[in-house]
Amino acid sequence: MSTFAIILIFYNIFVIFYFIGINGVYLLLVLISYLGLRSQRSTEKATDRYQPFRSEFYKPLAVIIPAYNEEATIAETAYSALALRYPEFEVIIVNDGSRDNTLSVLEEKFNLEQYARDFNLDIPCATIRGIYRSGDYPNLVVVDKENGGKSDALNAGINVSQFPLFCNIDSDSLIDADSLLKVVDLFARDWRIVAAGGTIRAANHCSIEDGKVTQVRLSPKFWVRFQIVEYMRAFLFGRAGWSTIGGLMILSGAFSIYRRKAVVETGGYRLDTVGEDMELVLRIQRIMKRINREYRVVFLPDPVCWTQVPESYRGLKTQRRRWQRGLAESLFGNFEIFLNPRYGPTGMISYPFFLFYEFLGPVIEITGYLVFIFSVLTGILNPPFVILFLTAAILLGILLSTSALLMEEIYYRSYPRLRDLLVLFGFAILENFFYRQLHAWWRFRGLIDYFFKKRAWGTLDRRSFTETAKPLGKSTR
Amino acid sequence: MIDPYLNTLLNIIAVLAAVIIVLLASMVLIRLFSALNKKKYRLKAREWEEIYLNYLHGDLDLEKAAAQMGADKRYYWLWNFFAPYLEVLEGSDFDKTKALCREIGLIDYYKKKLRRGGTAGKAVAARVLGALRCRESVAEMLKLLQSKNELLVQAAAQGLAKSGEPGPFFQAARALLGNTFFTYEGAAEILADFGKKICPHIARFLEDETAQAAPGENGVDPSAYRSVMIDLLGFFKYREALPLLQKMLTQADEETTVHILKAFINIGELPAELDLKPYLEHPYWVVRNFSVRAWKLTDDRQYLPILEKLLSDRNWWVRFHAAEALRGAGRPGLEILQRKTAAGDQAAASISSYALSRNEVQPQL
Repeated sequence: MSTFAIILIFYNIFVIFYFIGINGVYLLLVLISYLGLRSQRSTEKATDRYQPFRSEFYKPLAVIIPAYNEEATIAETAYSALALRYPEFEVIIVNDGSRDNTLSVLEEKFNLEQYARDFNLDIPCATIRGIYRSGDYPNLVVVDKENGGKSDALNAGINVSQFPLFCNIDSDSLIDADSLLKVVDLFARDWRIVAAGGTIRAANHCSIEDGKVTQVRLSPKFWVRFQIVEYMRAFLFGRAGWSTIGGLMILSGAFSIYRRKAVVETGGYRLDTVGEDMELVLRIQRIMKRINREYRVVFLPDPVCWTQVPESYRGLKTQRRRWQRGLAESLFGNFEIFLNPRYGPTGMISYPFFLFYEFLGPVIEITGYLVFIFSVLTGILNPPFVILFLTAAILLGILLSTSALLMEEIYYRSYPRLRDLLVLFGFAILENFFYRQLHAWWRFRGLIDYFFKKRAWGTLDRRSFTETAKPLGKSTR
Repeated sequence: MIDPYLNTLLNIIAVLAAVIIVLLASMVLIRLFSALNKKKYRLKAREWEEIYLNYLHGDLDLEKAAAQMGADKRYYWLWNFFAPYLEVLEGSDFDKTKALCREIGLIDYYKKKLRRGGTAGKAVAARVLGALRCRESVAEMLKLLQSKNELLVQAAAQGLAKSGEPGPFFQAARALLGNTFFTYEGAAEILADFGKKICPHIARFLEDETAQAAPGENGVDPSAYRSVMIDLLGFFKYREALPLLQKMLTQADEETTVHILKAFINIGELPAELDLKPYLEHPYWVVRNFSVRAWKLTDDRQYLPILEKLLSDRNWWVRFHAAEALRGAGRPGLEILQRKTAAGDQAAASISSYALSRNEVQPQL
């Protein structure tokens, strides 16, 4: 047997063990998150916990919304934020040097006027050109600044915010009215919490009135349905599971809440990464450890943020390549955590998992497919084995997605029609036949982008929430 | 003969397929049963509502109402039905509802759960019995306060707070601050359910020096414990505590000073003859910040020069509140702000312009 054949055999064996490892961890996460969700549900039933936290004891909070070329969605996002149920909060929209009419839309809809708001420049950010207040909504502030990217806009918002907590929301996202109360409740119940986040769901084709999702509907778009299944997996057993064991490494940039002081102490969002949300969560953990402060980063599945997910092949590809690049930047920017027992489950379990399975996953998956095909063609592997192995792999994928759908059904039941759930089950099957491979390829390209130090954000299609049929604008970074 | 590897793979495939089918079937069945259950509950609740309202109006006696409502012993549904009423009812209507719950067996059912249930069961029972103000369950709930389980401690504290019995207040406060990770705010929020009647107890506690040392027992930080008590006096606007708080202020540490000033602000009144100067010039910025806010209650012009100086404070919040205080101080305050906008001190000029610009529209800060 030639050396090449031996290498192929060993690589095939490695791929099989890698596959067993990744799916073993996922299955374990399903169990852990099921128990975690059950315990959260018991707590809610037993303590009626969102009921009492409505008084002056609650910490006031700033909702920061960075916006770049968001004329299509910004007004609805602002209305959604202003309609939140929370004792004391202000909404800070940061116009990051948009080249479209974002600022004009805000001026027109909210009757803006410039004023001399004073603030501390706690974190460096690009020049702030002006600060506006609304004549109609006393708790709305608009910051107009030179373009510096999403992270820079968030840093500007943190500087202008004056409250002990801040929440960042993407400008193409809407949050449920009670979501803030639900997440901030965690901050009241545990003084160690420095950051917390909720679930993200696809808003595409849902009915939206006055910035609120009034009816959840399943989008007819092919790409959106795949993403709905993916989001359920990512949030209901991914983040819920990691959070249960205390190993959470990421909070969604579309909706998360932080203690302002902790973020200022870490220097705010980094400007040289596209994975600013994950990078910040990891850096907070490093800094808190360095200064010997007890901390917790937690995820709560119930508070929901509705976001527009990409509807086109191009939009989705761009987003996933960017996410993979952001993952790589965040992991290598905080490598100190890797296998460091001081970081507990984050250092010893989550970080190695993310490095070996999320970061390297696309490389192993793509090369695995190629080596399998080559091995069959050269007779190293017999076709029945390959067919059965791939069948088992597909079934495991379906099993994981079905578990996420089942948890969604048990605990949240967002989709009112049973038919929608069955359609999603169909997509959980379908995704294994080309979407999964395509996704691996996009992530692989994202790694190439990372190694070639590509910096651009790519182009995102933006549609008005109420007019989903017609694209209204584009946003480029 | 099939290769053993292939055989194993075939078995794995069969198991995976079976599990997927089971999960899918569970999903469908859960949806169907849940819809059915919801429908059944809606029908039951409609039926119960009629019986309950007739009972409250006196058209139906206790035994008959209890017999009709409790016939199928669906206690969790019954709790769901009564819960919204219990939140708002007071006086004889509440007493009648409680008597009905007792007659139905709901109270006995949850008392049993409180003693012998699992964690979730005990926690729900504490909530139910608290909402029904069952004083006979206080002893059992006090035991739960000592639990290592945070959910049980929280549920017991909430149950005790709602039960209307002021006695366990201090134990609940100690348990929340010592056996859980609750913040001041979170603990105070739950303890506020004990109602204004706990204020004289808190005042007595704060007067008693030996009692102040006691909370250290459960690893509770005495300063945190005292701060929550003071916050509650402020929350309930307990004016009678003003002399006590003034007395405490003379010997208080930084943290306690902050909470006392905060309580004055919430009560909306400062003790007579309180000299704010040492607090306005205090080295800790939070004390300066709250004393500026407390100054707004007096409007005493002798402090205007200090407030003017605070417009240049190194802390943004102190500058902000000093400017706000001056903005609300009428003509002399506005004159200071106008003078400062043109002054060389950038920080004072900036915060003064900000305050003056806020004079037209008042954002909710």
